[in-house]
Amino acid sequence: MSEERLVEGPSRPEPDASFEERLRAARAKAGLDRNDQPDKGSPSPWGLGVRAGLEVASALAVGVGLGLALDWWLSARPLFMVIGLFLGGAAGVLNVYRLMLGRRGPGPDRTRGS
Amino acid sequence: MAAEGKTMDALSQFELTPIVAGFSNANLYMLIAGVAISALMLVGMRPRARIPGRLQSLAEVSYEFIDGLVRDQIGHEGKKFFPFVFTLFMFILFGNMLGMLPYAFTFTSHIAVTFTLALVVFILVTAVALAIHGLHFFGYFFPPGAPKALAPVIIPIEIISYLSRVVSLSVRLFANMVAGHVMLQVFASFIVMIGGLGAIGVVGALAPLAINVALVGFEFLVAFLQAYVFAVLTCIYLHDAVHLH
Repeated sequence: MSEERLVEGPSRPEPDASFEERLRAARAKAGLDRNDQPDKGSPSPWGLGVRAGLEVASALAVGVGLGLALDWWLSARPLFMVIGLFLGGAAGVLNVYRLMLGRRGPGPDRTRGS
Repeated sequence: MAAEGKTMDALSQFELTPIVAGFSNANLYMLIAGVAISALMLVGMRPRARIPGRLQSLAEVSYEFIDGLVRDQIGHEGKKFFPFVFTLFMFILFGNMLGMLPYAFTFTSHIAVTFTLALVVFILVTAVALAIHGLHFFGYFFPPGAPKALAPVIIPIEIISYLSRVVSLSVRLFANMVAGHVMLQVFASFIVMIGGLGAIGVVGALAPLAINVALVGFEFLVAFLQAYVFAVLTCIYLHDAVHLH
């Protein structure tokens, strides 16, 4: 290990670091990119499973709840509840998909400008 | 907190008992949490020592912890949300930690409390997104490049996904606190039940006692972790609201 490396802090990119690397560091500093995982502390499979399950269950609950509310309002029982059940399930899968991607919010491309 | 004879009552610890009319033990512990946080920050920072003492260290560490979190997750614009995230984190942390004291009440074990906190976050996030991006915010519910014909399906799914944040945020904290305290209560009841069996029972009661010791440690971890997760997710949602992608 050369001496200048010891002097340099760990957060400073190397002077000969590639442009991509420096760009990533700058973007991370400006908050344009998110750090991949919110809780790096314990990415245990058990915890991940519970989180994924909770995401599905809550989306399903919201979907069915909205459907029941629409049914009650328009007295169309059980039409909207059934629609809400399917949409809620789809939203739950979407939530899990985003959880696994480590990113929230729609959009196919994370390098898109803010 | 007691196992009366052979029955086990694991849920009575979550019951609200009014102290004065309209002021329950949950309110009391919220008040205690508020006073304790204020005391920590005001009394702890009073010396303003260059080399901080224990209390000042605690205050500074918690400040810097959330400051770093907000800056990492939201970016430059995150500074103005620091007071909100800090208050939220400290309130939940103190709620969880106060609940670990014997005979104390855990106000974060009530879905009404956690749901209200999640709702505050949700309303703030939506208001911030609307204030910064205006009507452009509604483009959030339809990813660019998706076929227009799928709009009637995609938009409701995105809206449900967006609304489900409130539910998952509140249920996560609530369920963790309830599950932890029920487990503590159940194993504590086992100690009393097995211990009542005489000489063999006293030896047998050591097993649930050992489990309970481990559980108490684990619950302290959960108490901190859940406050942290709540704060992190709030920051992530605020990031989405500020940057909208």
